[in-house]
Amino acid sequence: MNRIGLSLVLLAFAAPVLLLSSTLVLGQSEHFNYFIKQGLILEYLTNSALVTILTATISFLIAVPAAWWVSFYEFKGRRVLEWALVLPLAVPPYLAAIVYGTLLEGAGPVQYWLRDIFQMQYGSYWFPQIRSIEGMSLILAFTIYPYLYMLARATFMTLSPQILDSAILLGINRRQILFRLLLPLSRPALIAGLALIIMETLADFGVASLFGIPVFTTGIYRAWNSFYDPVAAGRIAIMLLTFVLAILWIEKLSRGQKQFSTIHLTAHMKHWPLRTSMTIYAYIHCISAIVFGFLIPLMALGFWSIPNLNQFTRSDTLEITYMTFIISALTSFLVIGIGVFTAYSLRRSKSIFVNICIALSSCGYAIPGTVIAVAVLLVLITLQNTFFNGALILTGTIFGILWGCTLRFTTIGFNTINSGLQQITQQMDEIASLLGFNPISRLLRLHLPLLQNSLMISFILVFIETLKELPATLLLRPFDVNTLAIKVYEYANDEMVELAAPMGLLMISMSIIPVILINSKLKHGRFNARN
Amino acid sequence: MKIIINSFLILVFYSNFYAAKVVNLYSAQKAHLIQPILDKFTLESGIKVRMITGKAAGLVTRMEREGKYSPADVLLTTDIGNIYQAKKKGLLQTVQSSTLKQNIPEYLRGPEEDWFGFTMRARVLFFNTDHIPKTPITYLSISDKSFMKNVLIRSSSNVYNQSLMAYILHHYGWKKARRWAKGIVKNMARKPQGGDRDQIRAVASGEGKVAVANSYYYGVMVDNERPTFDQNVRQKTMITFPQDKPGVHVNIRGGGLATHSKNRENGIKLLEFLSSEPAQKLFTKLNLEYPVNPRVKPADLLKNWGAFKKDETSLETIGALQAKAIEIMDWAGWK
Repeated sequence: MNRIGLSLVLLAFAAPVLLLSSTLVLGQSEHFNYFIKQGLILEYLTNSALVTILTATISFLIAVPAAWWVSFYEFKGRRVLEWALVLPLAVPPYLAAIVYGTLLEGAGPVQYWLRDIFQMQYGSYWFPQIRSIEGMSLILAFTIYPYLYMLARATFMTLSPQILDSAILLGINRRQILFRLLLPLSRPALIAGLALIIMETLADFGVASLFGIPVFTTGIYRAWNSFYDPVAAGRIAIMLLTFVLAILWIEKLSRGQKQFSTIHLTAHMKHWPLRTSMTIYAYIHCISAIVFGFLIPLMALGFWSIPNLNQFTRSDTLEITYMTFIISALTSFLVIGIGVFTAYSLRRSKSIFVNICIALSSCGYAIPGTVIAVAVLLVLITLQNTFFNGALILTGTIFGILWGCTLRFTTIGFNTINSGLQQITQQMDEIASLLGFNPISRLLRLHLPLLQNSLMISFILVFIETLKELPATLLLRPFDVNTLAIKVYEYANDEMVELAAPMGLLMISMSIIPVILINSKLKHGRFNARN
Repeated sequence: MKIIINSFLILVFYSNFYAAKVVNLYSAQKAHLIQPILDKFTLESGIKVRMITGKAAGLVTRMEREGKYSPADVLLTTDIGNIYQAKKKGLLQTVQSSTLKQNIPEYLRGPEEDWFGFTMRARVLFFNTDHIPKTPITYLSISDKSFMKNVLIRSSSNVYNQSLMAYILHHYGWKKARRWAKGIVKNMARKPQGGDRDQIRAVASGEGKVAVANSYYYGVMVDNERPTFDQNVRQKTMITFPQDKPGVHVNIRGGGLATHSKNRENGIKLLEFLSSEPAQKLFTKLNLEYPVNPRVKPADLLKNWGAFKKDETSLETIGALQAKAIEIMDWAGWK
């Protein structure tokens, strides 16, 4: 049964990816060699690598200390910061890029204001260039660090207080606890978070194109949208994918056979008090993350919306919002279902078959959305034309969008759930078997309650990701179906930021709701897991 | 399972019920720019328009793969480069319509009557009011040394620049075109970034002397009837039509009838409507583009900018040169 199920999952995921590699990579391409001959590929590779390294580093520096403070220390406002730190995730990076580009460019309000005050001309003073590799990395890091933050915090919360107590008894200080105990122990979760950040960065096209930085996705865009050569686009995407898989593989090798099982059913840990000087630093750190990643973009969008408030009350806005919600919610449930299923299969058998299945499913996130969307489109249309005489059964319903989005985000569900599952010890499974639980009731009665945090985190992540998702939704939708992300794209692409802003605000508000709802649950989840 | 299949079938048949009174549109023109005109069409003809918007390449790939089963009746897109690609892939069919011939000048239609331009935009120059040139300015002259580090233009990924490059290539030949591209790269005030509006804003703030952008972007920024956050642009910039011999490079938003259209009559009606006076008036009013129909006057703001000589080379010639144009831009190091 499990095998058949897995085969189905494998098929659904493999079809587009395999198709991508066969027709796109082996097909005739007029322009692929052109990209190599002109040295463009090398330029893309250098820029992509730089942006990725910078973004991952900055994200780590923002997310991990923040997670450390809110998980282990007690200070005023900790409970608010705890969930507010997730909010930047609601801001799509391309919107943040529009906001910061417009605010900080030479013709932006900040520089005009500086020039007015100091009576200077443009060019007679130094000001950092926002539309640069550094600027792009900062914007990406400030809007996607919550992936890492959420995963780190979820792991920190499930660490056994006894380990910490013993460590303190052994005389190591709190800083050493962080570096020598916590970080090594939370490695699977931190890597899972960093992997998401790396893949998101590599697949970004919005920020890169706004800022004029030639990265891999620029090449894919040029091959497909300018040369109309999907084969060349597919090949560049496969190169990108190889790059990602290589990073993940290196990590896996270095991790070796180590086991990371840390959940213990013990009492709730008390938060340590934080020194005043450190409290101030923690405040500055966490609050700037929220201000730059969330508040400034939100306020700018709010300001730009003022001339177009009637956008909110238009009849189709409600319809679009509703459709966006339906698509995001359905995708989230699908992804969680598949995530549990695959992570669980991996736990039960480490066969090559299962591993291939998982590798293929993570391709969805590592390949830029546009390319995945095309691959899914090709599969859907081929199925439709062969079996249904072209009747629009797949592309005429939201089925296509759901497939595309699920394929894109399965790895988020899998990574999150799997890193949670790795913390449930083998002994616990053995005890359950001894007590006569079969695998299914063990899943339902032992694992799912323990996985509650991971499940909820994947729900938030996938829900928000789908809400912001553009390429697959744009390409795979049926007639007259619109989402907020499509509206934002259409206005923003026509450089009508004052019309894009209201839609962007709606989109952000919609992602805040699950963040707040689930976060309140997350705290209780901690007690449930322990008691 | 049966329920699922049934509901899918209902969805499928649902679309067929309306077959007589419907036209299916694949549009790379943004919904907010085309919807008001489609609404007017439905009101006047009783034909319902169902639409999918998207990027040109996406819609073209979708149509191509759907093949003879494609539900699309009409494809609308922007820029001749995209229309040319759709044509080359055999996605558009010939439409013999005296109305279309009457309403659209020859150079804005396909030689085989398979695509039609519906609105026209000019790619022009914008100067800071402190640096208004004393001699006539051409596209060629902004790649001269006199504009060193003073030209604001966006990336070579942008289709408008690709078409402009194709225009230069067509009129001035390969050698001059390469020199021009190199000159532009040397003259860039900053590395290419942002959209067309950002280039104009940068001219207003003094980051360079001249910007290259499409006419309507400027229109929406300076039109008194629209809210704007760009007071500086209103005060500090002016539009200038280049004086090149071949005329100013114009491009279109246009489209044609899909090869496998199932509602051919309705599709033709839609195309004819888009070229008609009421639709053309709306087009120029909504997005401040130039009407293609000679009987329709451009919006007042555009009239104030004055008349200019357009390049009347058949646009298809320009579209066909686009791939070559991109290669020149890459060669010149235009990011």
